[in-house]
Amino acid sequence: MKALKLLAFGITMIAVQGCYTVLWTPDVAFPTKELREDSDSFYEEIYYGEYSRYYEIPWWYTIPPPPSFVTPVRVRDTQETLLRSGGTTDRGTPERPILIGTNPPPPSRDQPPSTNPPTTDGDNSSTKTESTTKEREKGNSSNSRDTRNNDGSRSSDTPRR
Amino acid sequence: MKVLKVLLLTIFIFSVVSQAQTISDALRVSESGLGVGARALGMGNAYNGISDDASAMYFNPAGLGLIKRIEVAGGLDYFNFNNNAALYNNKTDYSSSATNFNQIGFVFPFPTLQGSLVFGMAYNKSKDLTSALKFNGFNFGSHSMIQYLEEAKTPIDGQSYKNSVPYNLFLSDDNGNVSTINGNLNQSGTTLQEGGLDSWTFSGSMEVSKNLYVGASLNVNSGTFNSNREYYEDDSKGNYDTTETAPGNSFTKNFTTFYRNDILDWEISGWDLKIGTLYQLSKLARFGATIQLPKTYTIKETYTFDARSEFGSNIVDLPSDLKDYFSDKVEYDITTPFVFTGAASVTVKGLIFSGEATLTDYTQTQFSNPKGISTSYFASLNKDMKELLRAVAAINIGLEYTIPRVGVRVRGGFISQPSPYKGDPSDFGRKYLTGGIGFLADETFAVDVAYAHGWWKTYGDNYGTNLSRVYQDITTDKMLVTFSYRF
Repeated sequence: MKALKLLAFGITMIAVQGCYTVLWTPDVAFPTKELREDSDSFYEEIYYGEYSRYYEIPWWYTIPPPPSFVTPVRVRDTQETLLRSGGTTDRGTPERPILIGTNPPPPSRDQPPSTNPPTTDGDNSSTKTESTTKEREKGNSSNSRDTRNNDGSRSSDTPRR
Repeated sequence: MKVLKVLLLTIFIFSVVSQAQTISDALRVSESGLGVGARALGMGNAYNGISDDASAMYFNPAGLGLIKRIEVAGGLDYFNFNNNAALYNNKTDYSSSATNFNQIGFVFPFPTLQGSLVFGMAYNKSKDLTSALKFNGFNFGSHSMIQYLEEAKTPIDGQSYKNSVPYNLFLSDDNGNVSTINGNLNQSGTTLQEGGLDSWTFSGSMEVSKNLYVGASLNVNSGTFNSNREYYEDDSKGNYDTTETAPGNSFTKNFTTFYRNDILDWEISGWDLKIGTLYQLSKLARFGATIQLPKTYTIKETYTFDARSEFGSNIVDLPSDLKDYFSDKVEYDITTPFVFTGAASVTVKGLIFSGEATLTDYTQTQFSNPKGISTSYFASLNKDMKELLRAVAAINIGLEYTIPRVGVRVRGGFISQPSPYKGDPSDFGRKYLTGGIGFLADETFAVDVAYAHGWWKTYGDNYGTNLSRVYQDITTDKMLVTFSYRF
């Protein structure tokens, strides 16, 4: 019983004072050596050689950050928007990583010029971009089929249509 | 003088038939063992102020917070107990050994933006209970175990002498008096003890302020202990060749041997908590402090007694109902005292000096919750421990030097654990010299080897006080290998 009281006292003291330690959580950037101030090293490399790295380098410095935190969230959202704008339902298919590759999709020769008409005769480039984005955000808009057709790698959808 | 007499009565290892609990039983679980981890042992277990590997869970849980990489560790140890015992100036050497898993541990530091949060769990073999004793000497005195059993009549107070061991082995007359045997017998025997204290440890540590760590270890304890004692009294000089030990029974004319066998089995369980703190002063030093809260061990004890006498080719066994009468199963708790440790380590150019002092007040050791044992007996025993034991400060010092270019560390240490008995001279305290070496491969795989040589003196009485005393020079050798991998 004494033990439990002492433990409770210790936990209470820490809780009251607040804690120095800040845990990494997925909603913040993964901690890397560049982001963190190193603590005092008891095993200086000059005297302890490789033992210094054995003791002093956190394991999370030696692994690549989780993929979801390498790429900024906004970029991924944009890619998802591009994907969703196609109106497909097979987002989990293996082709997806290829689809959201960083390279722009190859030009499609079978895209009829009329399927993506300019909204106005006097469109400048900025207007076109705005219009395209709006349509992608609509997802299953009337132009979504055209968008799918632009995507050369979605040949798997073709037989079903 | 009175205290001394009580001390001598109490501490003898070999009690009479009842095999009642003794102070030795309490000390068996109260005195610390040689711990876990080869690096720690190599440095004389002066590790509370270092504690930056999986063995921190045993020494100072706060030190877990210093660990920055995931660690898996395991260890194996070899322990040898050697006893050079003298009975009536006749020395006999005897030894026993054991090989055990010493440690299996896993440590996981959580990724942090600042500070440290580390959890770990481990199996630790905290103490090896292996021991051995063999003695052999001729007692020219007019006393013997046979006479003592007749006089003591424990635990059959209030019972008929017909329940006594000498009577049933035809070593006393029809009135239960050992009237014919009067010492002058060769006394010999062996005691082999084995077992150990284990714990499953769950630990956590957090950096609560810059370079200040606080941690705790919850230990779920278990263990076993077995003691097998064989004791002989032989008429090696033919003093009783023509005497009927049980007058009127002619076959008792050629008494040759009295034999008794005591087997003690313990199943040990319990739990305890250790809390610790550690502060790292810049790149120079670390200071640690721990409080081991009292451990409560529940002992389930099975005691088995057997005896026989031999008259030439005739053997008389103790009747089975009397074997059962003297054997018993009991249960009780032993609560160990608080243990306070203060420690420091300093690093200077690849050299680490480490030292610590541990205060244990053994007078706080207690027996409690008797089942099958009288409460008054435990009250008396607890009172004896208050009067006969003392508070002692154990000292551990250690040294380690790293040869940086080859990734090798060499270390040495010294341990001094004074005897918990009041008035015991310093050579009754346990002392150990330790040494070790460590290798690191690929910055991930570490191998540490440690060796510890211990020595101390003690004694035990076969019966009575200083009548049949066995003086013992004990040496122990322990070899420990620990492997650890950091991811």
